[in-house]
Amino acid sequence: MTSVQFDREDAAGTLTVMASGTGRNGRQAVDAACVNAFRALLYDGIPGSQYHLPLINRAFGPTSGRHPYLERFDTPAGCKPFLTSSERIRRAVRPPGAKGAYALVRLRIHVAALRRELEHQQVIRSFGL
Amino acid sequence: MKAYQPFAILASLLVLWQPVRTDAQEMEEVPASRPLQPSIMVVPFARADQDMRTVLEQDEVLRVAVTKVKEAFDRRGFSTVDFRARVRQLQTDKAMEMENQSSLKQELIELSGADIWVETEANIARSSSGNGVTVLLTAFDAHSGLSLANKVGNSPRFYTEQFEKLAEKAVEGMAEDFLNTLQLKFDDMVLNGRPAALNITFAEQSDLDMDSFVAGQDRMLSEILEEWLAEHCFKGYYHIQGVTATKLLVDELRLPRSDEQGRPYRPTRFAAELRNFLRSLGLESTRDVQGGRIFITIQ
Repeated sequence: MTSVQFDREDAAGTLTVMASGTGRNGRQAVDAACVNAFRALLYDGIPGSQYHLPLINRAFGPTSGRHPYLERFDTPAGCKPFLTSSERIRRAVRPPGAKGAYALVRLRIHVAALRRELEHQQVIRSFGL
Repeated sequence: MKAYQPFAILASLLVLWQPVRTDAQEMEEVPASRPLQPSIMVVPFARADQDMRTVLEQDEVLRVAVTKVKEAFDRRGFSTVDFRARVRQLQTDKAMEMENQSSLKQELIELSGADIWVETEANIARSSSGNGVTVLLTAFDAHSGLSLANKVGNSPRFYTEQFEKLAEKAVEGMAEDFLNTLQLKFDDMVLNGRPAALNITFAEQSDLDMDSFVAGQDRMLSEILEEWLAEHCFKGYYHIQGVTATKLLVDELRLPRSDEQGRPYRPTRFAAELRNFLRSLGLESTRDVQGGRIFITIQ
């Protein structure tokens, strides 16, 4: 029971999303929301934003599996360098069917820095031919 | 004290040597597969009867929009060709001689050296619910005219006359999306080749045509040429628009981005290879290459 939705883009190179996650406790639920947000941005894109296309173009990745660098985004510690703010919404309406602790978090992601790092690690191609 | 002098000298040398070593290491870390950068020029939109430079100089809102688009490219680590500087250079070179303003645009496309043009248009919209600016961005391949990316961006509406600020907002809200779409097209070119067009015709005095049988081949020239295209176009992709006795038109073919050595593969090289092939068949030809359009005339 997770979702990632576009919130706003109020500064160049950043993106604010509302992400939800579940876990055994509140802390884990917030971490799960963070990982869900990055997963959506990297592999699915965020509808309604300028980043509606996924950052990762699978056509250029390894033929099977994924680039080893991307594994860091499976953990909140790997995502945090690219977060500029994280705010848990205290009175979030818990969706029916959500198991365990539930968290709705407003995350501001520094997409420009994330993209630059992915380019540097040769996970995605730099702008150009 | 003197016994320490050689060590002191050695230590000093090490200190001096260390930065040089670090620089060399950094140079080695530059990725080998650095993308080949196309040359991009951001230009103002102008109607056929308008002079682009005058339009840009007279429209402050448009100037802001153009600058913001260039800024977006800069943020991606990409430098664009400056339109005004290039116009000035062209005017100094030869454009001063031209009387027709619309020909300046064509001249710019051909002589600017830019591979991709990004046309920017900014329109002011006034209404009772506030004023806004609409920005239209169009990127196209200067050589083939192939459309690469198109976006329309609207600023929020405010009760203000500061249209420059509104233009900034409009571009900020669309630039990333526009560049991402452009990058998708670049990625497609990397995977499927760069588009070009080929036109093979015969000189007036030529005794040959496409239905002529080539000596030693026992096949018509058009068949031989088609086979050559299948072998030499990137991934064998070409599309023949039509073949007549006097003409073979390939409206789209794909060329590799780079050769085996990683050097850019230009349409001029493809034309040279085709001419060499024709020569091997005992046919002389001339060529004319305009951007991605290749014209071969068999003598």
